[in-house]
Amino acid sequence: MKKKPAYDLKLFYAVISLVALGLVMVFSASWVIAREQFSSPFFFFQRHAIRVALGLLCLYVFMKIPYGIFRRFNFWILCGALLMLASIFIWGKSVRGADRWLKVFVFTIQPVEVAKYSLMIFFAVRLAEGRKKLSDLEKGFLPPVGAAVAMAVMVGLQPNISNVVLIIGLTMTLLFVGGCRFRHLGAFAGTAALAAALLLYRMEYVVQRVLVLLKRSDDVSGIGWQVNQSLIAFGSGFIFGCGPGKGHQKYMFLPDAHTDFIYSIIGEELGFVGTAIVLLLFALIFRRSLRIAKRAPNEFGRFLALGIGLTIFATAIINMAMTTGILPTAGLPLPFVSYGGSSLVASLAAAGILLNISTQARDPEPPAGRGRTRSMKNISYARRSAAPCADGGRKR
Amino acid sequence: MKSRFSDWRINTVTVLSVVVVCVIFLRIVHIQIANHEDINEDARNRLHPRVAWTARRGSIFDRNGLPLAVTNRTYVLGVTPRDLPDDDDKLEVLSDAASTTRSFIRCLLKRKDTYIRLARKVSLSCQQEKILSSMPGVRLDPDPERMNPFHCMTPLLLGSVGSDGSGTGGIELSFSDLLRGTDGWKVYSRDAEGRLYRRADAPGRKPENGHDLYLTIDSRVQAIVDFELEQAVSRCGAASGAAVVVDPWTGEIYALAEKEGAKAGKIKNEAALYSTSCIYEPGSTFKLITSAYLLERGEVDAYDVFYGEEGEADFWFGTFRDAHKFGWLTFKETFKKSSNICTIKAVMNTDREDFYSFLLRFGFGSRTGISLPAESAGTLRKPEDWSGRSLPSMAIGQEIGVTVLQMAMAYCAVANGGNLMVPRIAHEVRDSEGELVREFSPVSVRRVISPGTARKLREFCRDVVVDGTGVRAAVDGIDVAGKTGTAQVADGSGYLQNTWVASFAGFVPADKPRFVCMVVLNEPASDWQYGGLSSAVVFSEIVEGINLASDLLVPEADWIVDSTRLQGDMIAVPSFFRLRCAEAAQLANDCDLNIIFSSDEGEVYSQIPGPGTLIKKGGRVDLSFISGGDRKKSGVAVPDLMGLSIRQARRMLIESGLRSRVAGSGAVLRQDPAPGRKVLRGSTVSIRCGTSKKRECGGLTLAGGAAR
Repeated sequence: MKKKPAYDLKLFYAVISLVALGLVMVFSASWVIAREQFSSPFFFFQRHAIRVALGLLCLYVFMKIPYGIFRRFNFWILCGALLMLASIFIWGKSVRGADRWLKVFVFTIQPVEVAKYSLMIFFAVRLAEGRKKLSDLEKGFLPPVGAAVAMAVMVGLQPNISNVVLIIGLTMTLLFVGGCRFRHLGAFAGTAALAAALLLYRMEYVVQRVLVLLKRSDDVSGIGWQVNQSLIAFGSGFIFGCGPGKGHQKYMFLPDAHTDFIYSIIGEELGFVGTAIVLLLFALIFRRSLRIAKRAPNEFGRFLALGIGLTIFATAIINMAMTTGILPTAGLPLPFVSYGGSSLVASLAAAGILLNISTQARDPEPPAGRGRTRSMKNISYARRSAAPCADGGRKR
Repeated sequence: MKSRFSDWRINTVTVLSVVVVCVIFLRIVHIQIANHEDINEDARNRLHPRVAWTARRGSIFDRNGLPLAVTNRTYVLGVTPRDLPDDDDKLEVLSDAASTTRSFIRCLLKRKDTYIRLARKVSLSCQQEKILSSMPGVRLDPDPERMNPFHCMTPLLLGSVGSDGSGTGGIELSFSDLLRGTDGWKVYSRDAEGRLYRRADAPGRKPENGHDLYLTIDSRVQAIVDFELEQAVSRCGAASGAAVVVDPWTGEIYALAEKEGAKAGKIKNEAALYSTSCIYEPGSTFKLITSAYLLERGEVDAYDVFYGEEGEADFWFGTFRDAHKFGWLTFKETFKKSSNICTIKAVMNTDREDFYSFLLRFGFGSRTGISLPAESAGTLRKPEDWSGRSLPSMAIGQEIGVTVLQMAMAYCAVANGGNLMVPRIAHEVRDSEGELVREFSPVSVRRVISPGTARKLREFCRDVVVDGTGVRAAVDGIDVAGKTGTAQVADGSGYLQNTWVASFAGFVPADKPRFVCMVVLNEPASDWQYGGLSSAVVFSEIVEGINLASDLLVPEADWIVDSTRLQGDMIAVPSFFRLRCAEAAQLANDCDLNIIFSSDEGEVYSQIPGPGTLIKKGGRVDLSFISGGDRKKSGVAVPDLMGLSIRQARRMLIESGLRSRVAGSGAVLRQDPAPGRKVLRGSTVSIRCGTSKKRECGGLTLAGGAAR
C-alpha cells in the first residue's frame, strides 16, 4: 500500500471538465452584463479565472493533506463555521435583500458554502462513532441534529431558504444512512415540516415562488419571468444548441445567467448534448464518491466521502431542477460551473478531500501502469462488489 | 471492521439518486427536445417582434399641384431616465432636439418616472435622428404630423388627421381610404441592450403609401375668396360668412371659404362646414327657382304684369311686405326689383304638388352628393304639411331650409342651361409615383329646366345687376349676372327683428358663365343687412380678383394653351410650383424663359404669369419663393408696387396674402411698408396713389384683367 498515491482520476477528470466548461460558459453568459455594468466584457471572467486558479490550488492542497486531520479538529472547524455565519449578522453585506456575504480582507465570501462542508466533517465524525451510539437519543442523535439545526437557523435568518432545505435534507439523509432510529428521524422530519409550514406564512416570497412554479404561465413578466426565460433558453437550444456565445437569453433576458442560471445558458448554447453531459458528470461524481466511500479505510472516511459527494450532488440536482422549472427558484449555484468564488473554491477543496480519501483506499489498487487508465475491469469489479450488498443487506 | 456500507440504507440513497437523475434527464428531454418548437416560437416572438410599418398618408394638392396638406415625419421624443447617461454633450443634443434648455431637462429627469416625454411633433435632421436613435435611454416614436403648408384652405373643409392616422373630418375623412394606404409590417431583432434594430434581411412587407388627392380647389381663387370674405365679414360686422365658387359646367368647386366674424353669432359652428352642413332660409335668392318654375311651366311670361300694392298686401293667407313701394311691374321687373308681393301673386294659384316636385328636382330636400361628411339635405316639408301660407312663403325663400351649396348648385343649373350637377371637390387621385389612379368626371343629376328657360333666367339675373337690386355686384368690363337675397332669421317662434342673412348668388359672364359664385353673410350689422349692399359687393370683389389673378374668365381658345399647339414663338408657361431655385432655373432654361427670383431660398409658391399662360419666348416670369421656416409663420415680403395701377397693386397684394388700404387714384406713388419688408400674412399695406408720373410695368401683361 505504500505505493504512489492512486487518485481517483475519473473523479478528477469529471471535476476538471466541469470547471473548464464553467470557465467557457461563465464568460459566454457574463460578457453582456459585464460590459453593461463594468464596461469590460471580461470583468466576471477574469475574477472567475482567478478563483478557478485559487480553487485548483485548494484542490491540490486538500488532496495532499491526510483527511484524518479533519477528524481531530472537527469540532473547531464546526465552531469556526458557525462563528462565520454569526458574524454575517454584524458585518454582513446585503445583496438583493439577503445577507449572505462576508467581507474578509479583500475577499467577499459566502460562509454557508464553507459551513456546509464543515457540517459534513462534523457529521462524519459523529456517525463514525458507531450505530449504537447513534441510537442513543441524547448522546448520539441530538449532537449532530443540534449542530445542523443551529446552522440551519443561522442560514435561515440570512435568509437563505434553499440552503436551509439543503442542510436539513443532507442531515436527514446522512442520519438515515448512518443508521439512526426511525423514531428519531421521523420526529425530526415532523418537526422540520412543522417549522417549514410555519415559516411559509412568514416568508411571502417563498410562497410566491412556489405558486409561480404551480401555475407558471399566468405570470410571465413578474416572478415567473426568470423561470420562463430559463425555459426559453433550454427550448431554443434543441439538441446541439446554438453554439457557444451565440445565445440570446443572456442579453438581459435571463437574470443571473452566469451564476445560478448558468445551466440554462449551457442548455441554450450547447443544447441537449451539453445539459445531458453536465448531468451525467455530476452523476459520475456522485458515483465515484460512493465508490470512494465504500473503499475508505475507516468509518470516518466513508461518511466524509458520502457527505461531500451528497452535498455536491444535491446542490447540483437542486440547481438543475430549479432552472428546468421542477423546483421553485432558489439561490443555489451549480458546483464547479457557476460564477461565485465561495462555492467554487469550497467545492474544489471538497473534491480535493474526496481525492485524498480515494488514495487511501482499503482495497489494493491494480498496478500503477494500468491504474492510470482505469480499465473496464475495475468498474465491473466495483459493480460486483456493490451487487451483493443490495441483496445481503441487513434488514432491521 | 464490518462496513455498514453494505447496508440497505445506502442502497436506498443510491436508488433515489438514480431516480432524481432520471427525473432531471426526462425534464431536459421534455423541454429541450419535445417542446422545442413551442418554446422556440415563443422565444422568436420576443426576440424578433413584428412591428407595424405605417404607410405614409397621401398628400392633398389643389388643382395646380400646390400642396394643401402633407404629412411630415415627426417624432415624439422621450427619455427613460434610468438608462440616460448624465452627460452634458448628450443633454445638449437632447435639448436642441426638444427645443428646451438643458436645465429644464435636468429638472424633468429628477422625476422618478420610468418614461418622460420631452416633446411632441419634433422634426429632426438626419444627423440628429442618427445621434438620438443610437443614444441609450432616448426613445423616438414616430408621430406623423399633418401640415397645411400654405394655410390657404378652410380648415373645416380640409379636415384633420387623428393620432391614429385616420381622417377626422372634411376631405381627410371622406377620402381617408384613398389617402391612408395600407400598413405593412417588419420584423425587428433585439440587440445586447435590449433595443430593437432591423436586420437587412429581416422579413417584412412594405406598406403601400396612400394616394395623393388633387382637389378641384384652385388655391389662387381660394386665396382671393378667403381674402375678400374675411374683409367683408369684418367690414359688415357679420357673425360669419361663407362663399363658394363653382364651375357650373362640371360642378367643380374652385373655392370654398368660410370665415367667423368677431361677433359671436347665433349661427356659430365649430365642427361642421357651414356651406354643406348648416341650413338657412335663402330669401330672395330663391326667387330664381320660383321664376324658373313659373317660366318652365308656362304659367307666367316675362312681360306679364302684376300690381305691387304699394309695398303691403293682405292676402287671405296673411300679409306680405316689400322693401320698397311698387306699382305695376312686369314679371321681369318683379325679379329685378325683388318684389315679394308680385312674386306671390304670380305663384299663388299654382299646384302645390307640382311646385314641390319641381323643388325636389332642383335638388332641394336632398343631399347634393359632394364627397364631404355630415352633409345636410336641407328642410323641405311635404305638401301635406303645408299651411296656406307655405306656398307663397316658399316662393320668396322662406319656410324652406337650404345649404349654401344647394343654392350654388341651383344657380349652376341655370348658368349651364338647365342641368343640375353634382358638386365635386376631388379632381383626381394619383398614386405615390404620380400615376393617375382615378379621375373624377362631371356627373349630371338631371335636366331641371329647358335651355330656353335658363337663357331667360340668365337675362333676368343680368338685369338685376344692370339696374336692379344688385347693381353693386357689377364689375367693369365683365358681364355679371346674379340675384340678391335678404332673409330674416327665424328662431322657431317667429322672425327676429334685427337678424339677417344677406346673400348674393351670381355667375359670370352672363351669357356663357365660367363660374358661379355664392356669397352668404350671416347677421351683418344693420347698415349692411341687404344682400345688395353687402354680399353683392363681396361678389363683385371676388369676381374682380379672379379676373385679375387667374385665367378663369379668359376665353379658352386664346389663353388655355395645349403645349402641343404652340404657335410660332409663343410658349405656354410651365408650372414652377414647389421647385427649388436651381430646378426652376433649369426648367426656365429649357423653356427659353427668363425668370426673376424674389429670393434664392426655399420653394416656389407663386408665379406670374400662372401655369399655362401663353407668352413670348424669352418672356419674363416672376417667381416668389417661400422657405421651409417661413411656412408656419407665413411671413411674406411686401411686393414692389411703385408705379402700378391700383388694380395691379391690389392683385399683387392679394397674391401675397396681404390686405390693402388705398388712398387716391391713379398709379401707386408711395407704399408702406417699403418693398421687400417681411410682414405677417394678412397685414395691411397702405398705398398712396396719384397721377404725377407714369411708369411702364414691363412685360407683365398677362391676365385679361390688366388689359381691360
